[in-house]
Amino acid sequence: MSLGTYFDQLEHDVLAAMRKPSKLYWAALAVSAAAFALGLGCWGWQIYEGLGMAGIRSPVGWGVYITDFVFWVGIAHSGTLISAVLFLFRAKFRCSFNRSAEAMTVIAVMTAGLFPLIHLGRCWFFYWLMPYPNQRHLWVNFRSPLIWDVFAVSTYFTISAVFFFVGLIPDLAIARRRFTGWRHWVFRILSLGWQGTAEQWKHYAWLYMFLAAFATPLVISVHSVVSWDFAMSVIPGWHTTIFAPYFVAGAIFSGTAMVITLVVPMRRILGLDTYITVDHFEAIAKILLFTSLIVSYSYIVEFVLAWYSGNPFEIAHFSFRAVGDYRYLYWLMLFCNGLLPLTLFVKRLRRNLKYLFVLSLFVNVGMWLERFVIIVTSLARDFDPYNWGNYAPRFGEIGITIGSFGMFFMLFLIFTKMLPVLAIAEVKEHSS
Amino acid sequence: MSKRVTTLAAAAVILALVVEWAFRGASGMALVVAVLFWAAICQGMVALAAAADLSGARWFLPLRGHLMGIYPLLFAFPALFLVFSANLSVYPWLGHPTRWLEPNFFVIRNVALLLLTAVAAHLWAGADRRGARSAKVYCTLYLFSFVVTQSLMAFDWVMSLEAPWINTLFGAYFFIEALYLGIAATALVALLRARRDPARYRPVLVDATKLIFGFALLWAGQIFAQYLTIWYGNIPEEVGYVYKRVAVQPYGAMAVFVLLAMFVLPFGILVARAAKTRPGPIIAAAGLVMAGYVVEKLVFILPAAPVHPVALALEFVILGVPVAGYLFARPDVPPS
Repeated sequence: MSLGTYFDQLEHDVLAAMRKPSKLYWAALAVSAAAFALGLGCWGWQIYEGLGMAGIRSPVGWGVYITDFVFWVGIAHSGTLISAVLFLFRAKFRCSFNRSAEAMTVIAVMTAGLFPLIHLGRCWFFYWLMPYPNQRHLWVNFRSPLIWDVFAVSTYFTISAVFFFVGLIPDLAIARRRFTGWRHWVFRILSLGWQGTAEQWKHYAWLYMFLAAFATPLVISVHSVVSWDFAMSVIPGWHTTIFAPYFVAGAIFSGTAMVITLVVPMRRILGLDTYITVDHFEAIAKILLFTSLIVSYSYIVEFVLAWYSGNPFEIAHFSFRAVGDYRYLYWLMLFCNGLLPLTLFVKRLRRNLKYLFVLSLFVNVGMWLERFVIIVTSLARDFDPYNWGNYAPRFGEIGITIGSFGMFFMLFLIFTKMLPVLAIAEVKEHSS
Repeated sequence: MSKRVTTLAAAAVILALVVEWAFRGASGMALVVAVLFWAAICQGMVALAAAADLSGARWFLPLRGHLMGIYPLLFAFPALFLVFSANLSVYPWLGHPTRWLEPNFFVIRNVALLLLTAVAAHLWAGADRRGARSAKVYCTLYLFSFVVTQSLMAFDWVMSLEAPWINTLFGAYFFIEALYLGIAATALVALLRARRDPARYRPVLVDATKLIFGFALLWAGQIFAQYLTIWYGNIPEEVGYVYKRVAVQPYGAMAVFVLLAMFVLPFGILVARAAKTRPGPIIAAAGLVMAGYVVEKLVFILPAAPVHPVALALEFVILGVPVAGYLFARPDVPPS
């Protein structure tokens, strides 16, 4: 096949994915939308009833909502990181995953951003988190990591959205050429007059490189800030220096798993087997294995140093994690995040897409549990035994959590039909 | 080449033994500082080669064979630690040992891990020469042992000087620094070779300097993550460690130098694109990183244990001669 024919076929195949949806697509969209509606309903119920309908109360003031926030923000951070870091390292297989990963990032940040609002209870006062001049001379507490979060996450959302959009421009121009009717007009506006001249490509390459180089340390710093929501306190299990790199590695780990969860069925349903190959999945499976090892290293170091320190509070806390009331969740977390990914040392399993898909689901579960275990166990067993107490999420919290997954998958499904799911220009570049 | 390196390593161990004997315990932690530095460079370079191998990085290929060939020197480090073990009295915990900080166990586990790292590198190099499929397995084993060994160097050799003070990031911080040093040394080797064969080694040089730039940022992130958590938590038993090394002179000034040498200056020097291929900036950046590493280890160690400056200088040179001799010698093996 000549290069011209291949390019034509590539454009056709990728843009064909944006045409009339199948019944399976509609069914998936309906399920996701229903879950999202459930979440919205539960949130409405919480607004009506008040935050008391949730299970969070003293001493566990952070429960499923903060777990969901950290989980989604982790997924969000890894998307740009996977895309930007692989770009900087000139990893060619990135073009199979970067578009999905970047879309996943933008959607996950939007999902994550809802949880602080949900957790506020009176979410209509969210603007109190912003520093704005007011008659009462009230000012946000800049020494609070929660305020750092507001700035970090909003900056991150801006950069991710720009990075996602800039990467799309050449492909939007291809879509503009290929589509007719209203879509042609939409893509004409979005492609910003892209003609693909040498001058445009030169500026584009500079901008994309700059954004990738800028996004990489930004992502690391933003997720470090998320980890400091916990590490800045003095509570056993939270106050530890390893949290920042551990959270960053955990974010890449969970995000890589989520990319696999999304791309394996997407490849099958949209018929993109020719472009997203098993070799590419093997490469991303290696990233999953590598990040799993970093996360496992952190688990071991935290545990061993608690014992080494001889600090009774640290020892009691880590014993509580392992044999206390949340032990089943803890061991399940270790199984999903530490043990199961070790099977990826076997090449045959790294290349088995069904296995990878199932494994990625386990990792998603494991990483959600990790955040739950970190948050809840530390609050449930503070220094003072008088202040101990357990937490279990209530129906409303579970409904909102399900709703967040519904929202995420619904928006991702909409993305697959609205925008090119593969970076066409980049695939062309590598092919030639 | 391998025989020559082995001979040099053996000579270094014997000379270090002579120095330690001559100082009769007054050398303090001098040998530890020297071993930390040269082990970080040697293990870091082999780890860089291993990571490049596993990730299929082609840019590293021109230097791969040469950097891997340094592995016989790794066998010197367990022997050097055994030499140091006669000096364990510098550790305050010796008077009240715990299950982990117990002298015999302390020496055995550290020697065993240093040996495992050397053996893993040896097996990897052997399998690689034969083109055996097991090379990947040994390469992975080497990386595992490198991470565990460097972590234990951090927790056992340095952190335990102030036991029960703990810092969970210390282990990861040490092995990332070892990689940082390995990259800095790689850049210097690439620079030297690029003069003879620019077409082959210039791309390696550019990528190695880019990695120095990236690791400067990573290092800064790691140090900030430790400092901020401890400073913000403000727990007396935790802050005391940092206070002694930041607010008390001359350690405060040394700590500022470390920050400049490991992050600010390499970042500033290499931020310009043209600097990534010019000898002056590259030598300055790599040299600063190496100097910063040594001073940082002194900042960690000196407030808790003595380091004899003459013994340190002698042992530094004794261990440095075989490493530098190997790295900067004219290549007599075809690059793989």
